[in-house]
Amino acid sequence: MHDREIIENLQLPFASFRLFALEQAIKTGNTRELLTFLDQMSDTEDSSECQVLLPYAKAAVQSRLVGSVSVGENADTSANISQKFIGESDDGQIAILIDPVLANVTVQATRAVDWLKAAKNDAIAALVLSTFARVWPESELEELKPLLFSKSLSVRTNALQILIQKSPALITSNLPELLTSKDLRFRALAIRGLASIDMDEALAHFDFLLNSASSEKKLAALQISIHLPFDRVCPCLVRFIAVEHDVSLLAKAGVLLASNPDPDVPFRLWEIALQSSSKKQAVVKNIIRSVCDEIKITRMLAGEEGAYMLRLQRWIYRYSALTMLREYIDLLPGASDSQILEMETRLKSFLKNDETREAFVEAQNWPVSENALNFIRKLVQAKSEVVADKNTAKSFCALSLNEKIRYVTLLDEPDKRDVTEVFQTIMQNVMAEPDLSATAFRTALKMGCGDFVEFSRTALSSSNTNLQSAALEYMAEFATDELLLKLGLYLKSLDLRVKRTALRVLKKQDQDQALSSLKAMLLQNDMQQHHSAISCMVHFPFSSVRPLLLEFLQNFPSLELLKTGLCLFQANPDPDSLYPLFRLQRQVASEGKAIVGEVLDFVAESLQAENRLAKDFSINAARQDWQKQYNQEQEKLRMPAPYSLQMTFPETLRAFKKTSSDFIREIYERYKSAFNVYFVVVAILFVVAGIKLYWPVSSAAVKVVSGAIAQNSLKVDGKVTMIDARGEKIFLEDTEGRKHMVVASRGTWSKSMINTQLKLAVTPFRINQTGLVISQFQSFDKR
Amino acid sequence: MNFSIVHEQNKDICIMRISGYFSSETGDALAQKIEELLRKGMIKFVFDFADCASINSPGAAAILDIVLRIHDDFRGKIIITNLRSLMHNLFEMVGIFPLAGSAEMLEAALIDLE
Repeated sequence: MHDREIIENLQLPFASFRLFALEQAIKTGNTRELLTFLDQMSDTEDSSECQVLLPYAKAAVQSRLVGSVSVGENADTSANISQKFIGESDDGQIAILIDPVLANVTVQATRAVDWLKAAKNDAIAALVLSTFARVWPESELEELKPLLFSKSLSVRTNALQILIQKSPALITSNLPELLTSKDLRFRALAIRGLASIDMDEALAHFDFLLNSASSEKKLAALQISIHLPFDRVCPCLVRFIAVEHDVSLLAKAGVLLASNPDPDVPFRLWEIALQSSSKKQAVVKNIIRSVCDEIKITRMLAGEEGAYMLRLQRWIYRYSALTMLREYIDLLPGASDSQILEMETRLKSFLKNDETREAFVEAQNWPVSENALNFIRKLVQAKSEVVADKNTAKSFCALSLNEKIRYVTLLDEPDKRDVTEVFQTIMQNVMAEPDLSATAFRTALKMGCGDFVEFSRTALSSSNTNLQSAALEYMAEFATDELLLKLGLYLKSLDLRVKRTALRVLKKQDQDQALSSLKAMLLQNDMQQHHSAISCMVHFPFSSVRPLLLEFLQNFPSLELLKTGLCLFQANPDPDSLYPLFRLQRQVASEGKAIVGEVLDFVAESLQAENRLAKDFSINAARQDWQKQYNQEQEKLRMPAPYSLQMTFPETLRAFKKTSSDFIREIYERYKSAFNVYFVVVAILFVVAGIKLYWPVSSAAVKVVSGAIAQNSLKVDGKVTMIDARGEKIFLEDTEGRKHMVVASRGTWSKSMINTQLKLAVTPFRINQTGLVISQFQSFDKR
Repeated sequence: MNFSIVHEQNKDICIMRISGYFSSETGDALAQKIEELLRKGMIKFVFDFADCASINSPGAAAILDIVLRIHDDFRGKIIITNLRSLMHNLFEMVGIFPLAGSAEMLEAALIDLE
């Protein structure tokens, strides 16, 4: 490691990384810059372990600077070195460990344990472990297990590193603790170790780390991905690209995708690019370009690369046009004639491409309203709209409203003086002709012309929802921070178009938050909200909403909603949807099974027609493989391993969790203006009702249905069957044979409780697919 | 996919010229050659990727292992040269570069190791 990298690592927030960098400084550091940094670090370092290593690091770097690092002429043979090391002081031991005489550590490997035992302190023990890491004798691995619990972080990390490389099976029982470690390096190593024991669970932990909130964790996940099978990592990376906004992390994920080119990835990324902010769109398009370049360079399609690029290009034209058509069809009900004119004009500009025209012809078979079908029919019969007539700018004011809208829609050259004047004319009277102003904002946005922010502020207050929506989208691009401060107002709008636009804006800026809003809509006991949420999903990359949609459909099997949700699978054929659809078919109520099966067949056929599945793909053979996968999954759900994601991070199961406090907050926010005497009276009635609601009920009275639970308190009377390694989770079987997992703070449960009968008061929050009731611990009486 | 690894000796520096597609299979073959050279006491290496078309994730994992073997176990030195920018970014991201050095051209790599 060069000194520059050592300094970078010394500035990281995780102590284990700083310890590793200090070890490297001791072994190789040799610049004045590093020495100066180490001097400064002595005053600011808050980890006691790093403080122990710092003087050694400074001494080693200082010695190299004056050219005096050597254990001396006496340390010539391997036997001498070992003997000398055992009898040396701490400084002497460090000097031996960093001396070039110890170049081939393999020779010393048989005595590694002796060196470890002779180490004068933990810092030296950690250095011994890192020195012998790759040559540690197999017969001495057991010696390292107790070190996983050393008080020294660097000793723990280095011992784990050796065990992970040499014999991961030895640490199976420690994995739950290692996988939940707060230290990132420890956790990443544990995932690598888990990969050689249980690949499915390693991937689940990898995906969980990749989707965490911290950039360091995401980067660690990207780094360990090279040790996992790429065909399994790839869908996780695509999902990551769909939700991530950090440009540097996106580029790193792109490096992995381009290094492992998969011909299907550009299709999936295009969908994400279309739904992204302009900044992110540029990064995603770059990734697509890189993947395509690598497909050509590696000639992985055996000479078919040219045909592939052509097919991809055609698909992009088609997909982009159909996405716009689908969006416009949603806006048709209630749209004014001017709005319809703008939509028609924009869509007609796509017609010059034969692929697009063909796609619009096929769209005449969509299961949409007669009004929408008429719109599509009219479009198909029309000629292509080419470009705006350049001479029209001069006589713009004399045009009719429809002619103005048609002209502004087709503008595409922002630098022309005449065009600027046309925009100025419209914006000066932004509220006068709202539909025209809306068209102008959309065209200016398309052209990247950000000169009209002042006018968009005014337009936001318009009562015309077309103009309000256009201003929202315009400000999202050119006054992002300002808009985000007031976006909540528009997310609550009663107008579906404004609400949808606000959600789309939020999605472009903060996808996680937007997904939470969708989740909140799905949680409400209101079918209209469920329909709205599903229709809003068209504005998200499908890969990012698919898990949420699947969980919703599996938990709320209303036939109508199931059909609506399945339309999204049909509209976004994706190889990664096939198995989830197969699983859904097994999970929904009987009347829905046939419908899901039909959609699964449709998606598979569409993908085959687009050559996006292997040439030898057969749906019947695939069904057999999926059935095996499904059986394995169910088995794992019934008997989860202690290191599984569902056991180590049970909160990952809470997709539809909503606490009573969330509900109360939401009610308060919605009605705070009406928070008056009347409300207080009603509240008192609620309190009376609440006495019954909050009264603990016996677990025997609970009906088992998978999904979120509204119950506030539950008494569980059952026999303890298992306790996790950290004493955090207890597993019980109640008198009715129902299984419970109760989560408490670390160390609450001791192993001695196994096989005892317990009576607990708990707050249940979820029942998983196998019927396991997951609850938060309140209090208990041991019998 | 096809690959080849050619070893050339320049004084005490081993130059490994890698061509074709670098996957885990290529990594295994390279690791085997490196192991033989380490046993002969060679500790200075140049990996020349001028004719390497591509390196995938398992390939990068294999190179990381090889670099760790040379760097940590033998206190050896490695310079990687003639990388395309994509490969350079991949190596940087997965932590190969702090352990190995990089040079644009073979000549520069040889000077670095002398």
